[in-house]
Amino acid sequence: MNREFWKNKNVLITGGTSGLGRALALTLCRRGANVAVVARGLTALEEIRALEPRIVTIKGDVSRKDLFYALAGEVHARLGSVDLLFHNASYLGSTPLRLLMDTDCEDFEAVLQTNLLGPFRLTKALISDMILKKQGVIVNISSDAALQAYPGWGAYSVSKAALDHLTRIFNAELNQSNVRFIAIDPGDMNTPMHMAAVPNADIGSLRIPETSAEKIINLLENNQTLPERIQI
Amino acid sequence: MKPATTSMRRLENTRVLSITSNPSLIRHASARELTELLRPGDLLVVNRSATIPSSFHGTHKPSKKSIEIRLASFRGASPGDLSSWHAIAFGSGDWRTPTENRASPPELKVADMISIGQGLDIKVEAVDKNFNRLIQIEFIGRDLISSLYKYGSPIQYSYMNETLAVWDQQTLFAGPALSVEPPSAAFAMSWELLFKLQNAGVEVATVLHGAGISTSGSRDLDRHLPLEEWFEVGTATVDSIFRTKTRGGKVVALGTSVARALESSVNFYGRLEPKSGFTSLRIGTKTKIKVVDALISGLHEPGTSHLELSKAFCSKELVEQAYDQASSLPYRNHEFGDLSFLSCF
Repeated sequence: MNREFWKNKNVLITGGTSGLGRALALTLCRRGANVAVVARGLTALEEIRALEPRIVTIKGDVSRKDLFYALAGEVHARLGSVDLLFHNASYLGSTPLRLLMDTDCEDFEAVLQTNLLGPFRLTKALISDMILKKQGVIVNISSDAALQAYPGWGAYSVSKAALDHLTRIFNAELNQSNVRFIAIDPGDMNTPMHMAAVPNADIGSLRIPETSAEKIINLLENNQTLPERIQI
Repeated sequence: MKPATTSMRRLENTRVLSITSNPSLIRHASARELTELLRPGDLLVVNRSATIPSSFHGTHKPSKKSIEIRLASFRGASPGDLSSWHAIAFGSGDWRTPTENRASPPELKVADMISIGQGLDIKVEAVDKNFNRLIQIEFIGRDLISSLYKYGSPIQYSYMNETLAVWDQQTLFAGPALSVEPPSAAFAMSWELLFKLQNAGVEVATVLHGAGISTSGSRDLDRHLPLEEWFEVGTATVDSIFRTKTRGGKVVALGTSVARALESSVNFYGRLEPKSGFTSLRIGTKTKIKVVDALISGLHEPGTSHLELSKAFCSKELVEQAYDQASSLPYRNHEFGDLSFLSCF
């Protein structure tokens, strides 16, 4: 573990009060990073702050276009310019999961708002400091559903495939800037979201989110030249 | 010259009135040609301030009258504290009425409370002794930043055809939201153009400068603008400037706010140093410019402090001659309009 690495690093995590986001936030804070989390629920934000009072908690909703400058304003005022950004907030669509053809158009749009347009907008709002300082990492939390066509996972799957491609295009366009985009598939974890998608999942076969978080953080800490897409 | 009346920004349509000396030359260029107007080895300095929606409508509690509070400049203790501002009060009405025709606000006293919305109030902290409308305020509310974005709307003027949204005011480089009106010289910038400039050997550095309000609607009060403004010039930028000067490049300020920040970072001995705080420096025709070699700015109306500032960078005669030529060409002025490039040193 390289504690010096995280000193003075500002990390922003969307969806940072549950599952993988929560594990990333707590671990990074304990390793010495300045961490801010964005989430919709006030109670969950208060809970994580009770665990780690140093975590900056921001009430926000990445799916809302009308609110994202307020979100960026709050991030700049309370965290500062971002060195590492995790686009972690994800929405499955309504559960139980349905076939794509049974999915309401509105539901499909809502999934894209959170999983694709939200990361695009927040990236646009926060990337200029990274480009001008010539350093920064943006992690898009992906899924094996981005590669595999699982029946029933349609909207989520499409959104994650598009997020993977967003990662590639940003890298292709910003290859001189030293800002790096990485898509990370954290594996199947015992998280509220996975249990909503697969209510009868065998919990014993699922990883706990802390394990995935540790692995992701160790990778970022130890390797400067990570591939564009990583499966944990 | 006519104002630009919509917030649509198109790089390819942005004109640049280029004014250079030795020999005196006025050129009518386009923003794409910035890659030629700037030379390899030059340094482009940009303002990384975002713009906070700065017009707040509410009720003045003592008189129960409608009031509009426009933030005029940031006066917080640090960029993280968005509660304290200089402000200018207006009576009822909104941006559709020309600022100079707006109704007067109710008389203001220290400690007056203004109710803006649920969970957001303004407290009057100080009232200027000459202008009752010019006040210092403190926002009071929980979840302050989200409330400011919820109840605030962009300051805009009656020449616009559309109601602006918060994103219409942000530049490419928007970071901490300390400006009350956009540092709009950067509106014509795209990442594509910026990368082209970098590939052509132009370095890019940043300052943070909370740009203030551009007009109050009163000539007398406008003479006091710009108010003091918060700025920060960091070590990396100072180093870039020294490197640029050493190799014979020009320091090009993208916007008057950048020029104000850089010139405010010159110490008593005339040497540039990293600095942050408030500046009351006023740049005008007679100001001796010490750091900035060239300025990219908007096109300004006669009598504005911005146009006066331009004349510190090229001679008054040359600037006036250029504006005179431009008046018969389809240039647009104001914040969403065209640009001027002044390089006479």
